[in-house]
Amino acid sequence: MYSSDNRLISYHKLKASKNAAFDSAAVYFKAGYKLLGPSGWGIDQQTMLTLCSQGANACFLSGDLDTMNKLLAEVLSQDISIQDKFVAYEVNCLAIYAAGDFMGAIDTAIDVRRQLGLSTFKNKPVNTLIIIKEFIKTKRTVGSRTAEEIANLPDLTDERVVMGQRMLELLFTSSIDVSKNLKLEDLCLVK
Amino acid sequence: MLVSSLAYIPPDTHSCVFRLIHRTHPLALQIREKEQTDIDLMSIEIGNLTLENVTSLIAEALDMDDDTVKNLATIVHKKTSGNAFFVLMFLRSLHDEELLTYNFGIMKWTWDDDTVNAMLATENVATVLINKLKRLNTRTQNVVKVASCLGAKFSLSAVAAITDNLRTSELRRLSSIEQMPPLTEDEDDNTTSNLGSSLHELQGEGLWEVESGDADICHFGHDKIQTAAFELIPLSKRDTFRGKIGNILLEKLDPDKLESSLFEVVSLRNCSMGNITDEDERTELAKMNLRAGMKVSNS
Repeated sequence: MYSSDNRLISYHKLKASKNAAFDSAAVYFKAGYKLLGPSGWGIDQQTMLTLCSQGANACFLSGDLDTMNKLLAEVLSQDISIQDKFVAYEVNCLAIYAAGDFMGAIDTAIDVRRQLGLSTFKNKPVNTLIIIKEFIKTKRTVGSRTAEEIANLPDLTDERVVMGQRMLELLFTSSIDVSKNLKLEDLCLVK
Repeated sequence: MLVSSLAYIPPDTHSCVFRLIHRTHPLALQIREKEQTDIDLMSIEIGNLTLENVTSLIAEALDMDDDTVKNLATIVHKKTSGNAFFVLMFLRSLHDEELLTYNFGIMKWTWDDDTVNAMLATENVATVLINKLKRLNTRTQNVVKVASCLGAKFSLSAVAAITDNLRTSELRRLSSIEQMPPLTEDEDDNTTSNLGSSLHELQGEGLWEVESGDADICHFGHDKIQTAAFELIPLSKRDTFRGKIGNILLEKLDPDKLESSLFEVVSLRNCSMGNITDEDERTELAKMNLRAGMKVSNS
């Protein structure tokens, strides 16, 4: 199993252990949402956005999927930037993944990366030559850097790229579940 | 003293500490801390009292022999399942209702088994507690009602701030628009010193205890007392009452205290969210909910 997959699983285990906390959090987010009501977007857009996005996340983690879907629909239907919608998209992607629809999760993650303006391949099989070509390209980019050197690279500061990387992580995990035979080289297809 | 002595128990020492203490007592906290170290602590849980225990307890309390109190003990044990706290509550309740009286003529405690049996047949632990609370004076009842809304553990200064505010203009305004009945029969009578006497009365009745480490913090003697106290508030008024308490806390607590009590204040205010019509107030409470949600998510 790949390390990023392990990391994601650990992340979910950690979150699962905090489900009780998210139950309480969901109560507060839902109360805030109810207080602002449907006109909340016009009253205080930022508060409404955070209530809906974080509320959807808390509802997802506490198993209230109906409310999660309602809150996600609220955010995704707004005329706001992809950066503002990112948390909602991330929760949406995780929920689709958790439901076992790995292909759906891949499509969503690819769509989000595209909206972020990041180059992403299409969700369709590619021939081995392309895989090898992308693998060599990545290998050249990495060069002789050691794992420690790569780990010590400066943190990403571009919010758009950070969001793209988070989608990439979800994309990668879903890809493994779609085809257990995927090799590490496949990751190179996503630039 | 005991707490500090416990801190110096050497690892190979065999010590015996009897505990009949609340889980939030400093000794209980110290014991839990010690359990994390290399000191081998054995905890022996004390279960409910048996019929024999209850018989002995009542016989001892009334200064009589076991055979004389056997019927009374059987009735009390049956209703309390031997819970020591409730046994004492039942006995106090019998005394309060003059079903258990001291006869100075014969210099003995007297009761009528049939009357006691008839009374207890219609009452359970909850109703005994509610009746007991109803026998307290109105002012003390109000204090216990307020405390029941704050949780099993609460701050006396918060209770004082709330009762002080409920007795003045706010209370009058609420009463005049008939959203809530007055909490006090005589508002002017509800001074700080009288609040102190209420607290003393409640402590004396064993209804709540002051934390030994912090004189400002109290807890109910049993969770059923909190439930009974809460049930004293009319069902239709509970949400408004809790919302009002939340608003007072919001107004009176300093920023640090408010932050540490954020969940309680928000939860109380949420109880009456349906009554809030002012848009600014709704937005402000929505933001508080957001803060609380983020705080608990990140905890």
